[in-house]
Amino acid sequence: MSSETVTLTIDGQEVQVPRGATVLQACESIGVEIPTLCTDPRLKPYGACRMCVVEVQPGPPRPTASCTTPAGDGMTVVTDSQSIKDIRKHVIELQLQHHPLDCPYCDQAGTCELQDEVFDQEIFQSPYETVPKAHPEEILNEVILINHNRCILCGRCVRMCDEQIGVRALDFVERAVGTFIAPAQHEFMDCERCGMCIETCPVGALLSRPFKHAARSWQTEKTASTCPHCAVGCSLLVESRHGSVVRTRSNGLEEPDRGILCAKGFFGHSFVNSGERITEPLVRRNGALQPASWSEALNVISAGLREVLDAHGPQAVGVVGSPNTTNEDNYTLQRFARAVLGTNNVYSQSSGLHAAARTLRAVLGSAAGPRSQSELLESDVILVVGADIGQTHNVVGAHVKQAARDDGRTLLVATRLASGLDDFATVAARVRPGAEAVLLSALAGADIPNMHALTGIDADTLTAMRSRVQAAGTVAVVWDTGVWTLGKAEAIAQGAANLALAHDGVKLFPLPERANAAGTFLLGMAPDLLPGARPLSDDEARRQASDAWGAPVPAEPGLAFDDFIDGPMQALYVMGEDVVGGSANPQGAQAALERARLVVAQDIFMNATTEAADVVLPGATFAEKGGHFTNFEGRLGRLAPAIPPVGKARPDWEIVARVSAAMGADFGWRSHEPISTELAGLMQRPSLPGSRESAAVNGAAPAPADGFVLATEQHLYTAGVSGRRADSLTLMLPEAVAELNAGDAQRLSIAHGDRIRLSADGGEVNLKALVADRVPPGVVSLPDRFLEAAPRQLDPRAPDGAAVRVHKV
Amino acid sequence: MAIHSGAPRRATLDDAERPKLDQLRQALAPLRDEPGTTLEALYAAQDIFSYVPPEAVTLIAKELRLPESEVFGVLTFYSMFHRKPAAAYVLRVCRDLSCHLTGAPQVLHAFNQALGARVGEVTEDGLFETESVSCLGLCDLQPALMVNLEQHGPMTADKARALLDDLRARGAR
Ligand code: SF4
Ligand code: SF4
Ligand code: SF4
Ligand code: FES
Ligand code: FES
Repeated sequence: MSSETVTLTIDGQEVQVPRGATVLQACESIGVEIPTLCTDPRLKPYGACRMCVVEVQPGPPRPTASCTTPAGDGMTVVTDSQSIKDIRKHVIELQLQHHPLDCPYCDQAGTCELQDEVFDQEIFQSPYETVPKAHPEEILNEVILINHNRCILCGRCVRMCDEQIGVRALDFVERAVGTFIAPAQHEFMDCERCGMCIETCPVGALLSRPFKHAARSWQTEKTASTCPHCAVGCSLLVESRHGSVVRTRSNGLEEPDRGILCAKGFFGHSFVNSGERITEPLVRRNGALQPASWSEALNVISAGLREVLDAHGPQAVGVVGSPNTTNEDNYTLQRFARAVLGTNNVYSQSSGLHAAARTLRAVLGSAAGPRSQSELLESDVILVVGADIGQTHNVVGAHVKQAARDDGRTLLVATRLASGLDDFATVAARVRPGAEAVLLSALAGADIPNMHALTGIDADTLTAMRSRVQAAGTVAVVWDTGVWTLGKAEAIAQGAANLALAHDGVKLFPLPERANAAGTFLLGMAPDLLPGARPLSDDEARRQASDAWGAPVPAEPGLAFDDFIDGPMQALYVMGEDVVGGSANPQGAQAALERARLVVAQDIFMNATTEAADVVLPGATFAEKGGHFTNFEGRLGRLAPAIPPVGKARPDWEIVARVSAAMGADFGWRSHEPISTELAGLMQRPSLPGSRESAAVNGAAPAPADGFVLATEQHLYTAGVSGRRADSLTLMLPEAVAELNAGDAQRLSIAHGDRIRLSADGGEVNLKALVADRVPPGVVSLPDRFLEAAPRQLDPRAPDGAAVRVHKV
Repeated sequence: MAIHSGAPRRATLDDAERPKLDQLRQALAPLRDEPGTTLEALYAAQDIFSYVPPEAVTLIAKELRLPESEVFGVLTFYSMFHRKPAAAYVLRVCRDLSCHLTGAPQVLHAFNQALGARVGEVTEDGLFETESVSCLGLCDLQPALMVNLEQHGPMTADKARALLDDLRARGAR
């Protein structure tokens, strides 16, 4: 017998378990059920509730909590003696002294662990004098409430928030029978609204306000799916009823989420059933978009496309895919463009991930990535640069905190704003917006004059970071490729590549800005790429695609998007993207769309692009279709339809396939599965060498003496156009805000909540000021995703790092 | 580090009291990298303010790099910390067994009747607050009580009322 395992006897049955397993785990491994209340597989053993008691020999002559007792060699465990049963019953009877059995009114009924025990133990009521607590339900914040009367003080919420989320917003307060769960000073400042305390609460104490009395737990249909809000790609359990999504929860303990979600995953689903959804096709008649039947819409599109192809050739047609839609959706659009329309004008809106991935591939070759989260978390040093990944990719951020605290990883943080990561970091520094690429190069050893003035990081801190990077066997460099990298995504990626060239153990993790941005790159949603992100110039790749599609793929690459819309464009087909609102030059893009003969926009909500379109088609959300997203690791996350599409909406791949069929090219698909199979066959990854040349990168100019530097990062509570329609998220951050440091605010006599104006060379925005500790002096932070105050209004090309002036209005 | 969209924490300290936060920050400096110093920190705050105001909890969490929820949890766990400005005279009435049997409930009742306040409430004039506490180690004086650090007992309801008059005559400290 190896020392890696121990052998014990449970209720007369011999069992072998790995050394270090608990008695509880040993019991579960052979199907012996032990009731528990304070156990959650995501949390460390705690031993608070005493439900899980068993008799252990050799051992103390008293019942032992199996959840905290390590299984030992030669142990004899009895789980079902009469005295054990009595104790368990007694534990529940004691709980019922305070716990109201208000199950008919409780949201947790049906999934309540206490209710199950009451049922199993056949306890009608507590034999003791019952002293129900009579606290009113307490609203903790926009989305969470607590019913203290039902709390059994198991501490799972406190431990979840601490061990898994790394936020530590909750604790026990007061003492003895008066003990209850509360956030610091009864204010919920530190909470990140992830909902995981609700998720772990075994009873109906911590509750979701949006779900309150929305459905009984047994009435909902449960569908396993994937979160649509960011590129972590957490697995979700979507619960629906009568065609509406009523809640989403964490689903299982597997990668990439390991059993946790962020605010967007847990609370961000209500956009699916928003009243603002596009629910039927619209066709422009006499200048206005008016409802139309599917067949009319398809006719208008096929006739229009045919006319443009005949009159101007395929170069006049282009398609835009979307990182908000699935691989199957994008693949169908691509096949339609290249094989049916005959054009390589295939786009995915200007994406930081595409830019970063191209740069890394050019320098380091195709082996550069993507890489798995476990490689990230198992690196000796984890270096986070730029945006706070706790906001942009919250669940990866939470795992990074845990790796630093529990697994001894060295966390180095060089973000522009202070964040929850700082508390877990060995070195935490503030880098000046605009100087991230320079910092990466400096860590690679480049000698950069004026380093301190440029990056805001002093020589000692830089040396501390550099020596930790150099001494480490493996280093994960992690950065978000979202809005803040606009105009400098290549430079940042080059800086990271410089570091990888200088140190063999460096692995790069550019985190895509939206759910399927990695998918759109790997699928080749670009004028010069093909599925697998193989270059269009690769004859073999083109031949394989042509064979699969039964039509030749043109060899000539498409035009760059701006050149296309300002040049030959006569027809544009947009799926799930706002090419006008997201443009550096919205007026120009709108004018170009208006000049075109035909613009088709397929989406879930109206936006500047659908407003300019000739035909608008109702697409489906993640909850209404099957398919896959590709997350930051290159891992496929499966979507499954939880509800039928609202109104006349259809899955996006299906709409494109029907347009194709209307043009005489029927792909023969009636579900997404054959698409998944077909595209998988084309996804061979190219093997491209890199230049392996390091290159100097430009840094930001030193901060203007009297002005501010702009930092633009996605906020934890914003999630694109869909997030703006998820009412729980909009409650958390109702309107566009600019955050600034208390000292700066005081200097400018700006109070929390005042209206302010930010102005820069490119324009100005008017919005609410928040005084926030996380913003360093001299920086003003403008979260992305608010169209009314978009960073691009200040500087269309590269807003982040721009010099801005702040005025009180 | 909080990320939030709401208003910053309410200020509870007035302008005269705020400078004491600097005093507290100095007192916390030697505790910074020492584990297990939360109690010392809370005592320091109470020494400076006479109670532990919310701003002090926030400051302790920040300076000692602890979750604020935890500092608040510790503060509320221990009965020796005040969370509001304490009354000039805190009447700690022992409620343990022998004092209980010899009349502590009547003493406490007399105080609360006379003051029109419940246990833990500070009277409007800021003079009095009753507390019901565990054994004071004054069992020989049962039923016993302490007024701040001053020992009294054996008590009766009448003596309790007389004590209030006496303390009122002494006035605020
Ligand atoms: S919602 Fe998340 S961050 Fe907030 S208290 Fe619960 S577990 Fe902690
Ligand atoms: S609120 Fe729920 S999870 Fe937290 S201690 Fe109470 S019963 Fe346990
Ligand atoms: S981290 Fe990303 S994928 Fe996971 S729940 Fe949050 S938004 Fe969704
Ligand atoms: S499950 Fe073991 S003590 Fe609660
Ligand atoms: S029991 Fe009251 S002072 Fe000891």
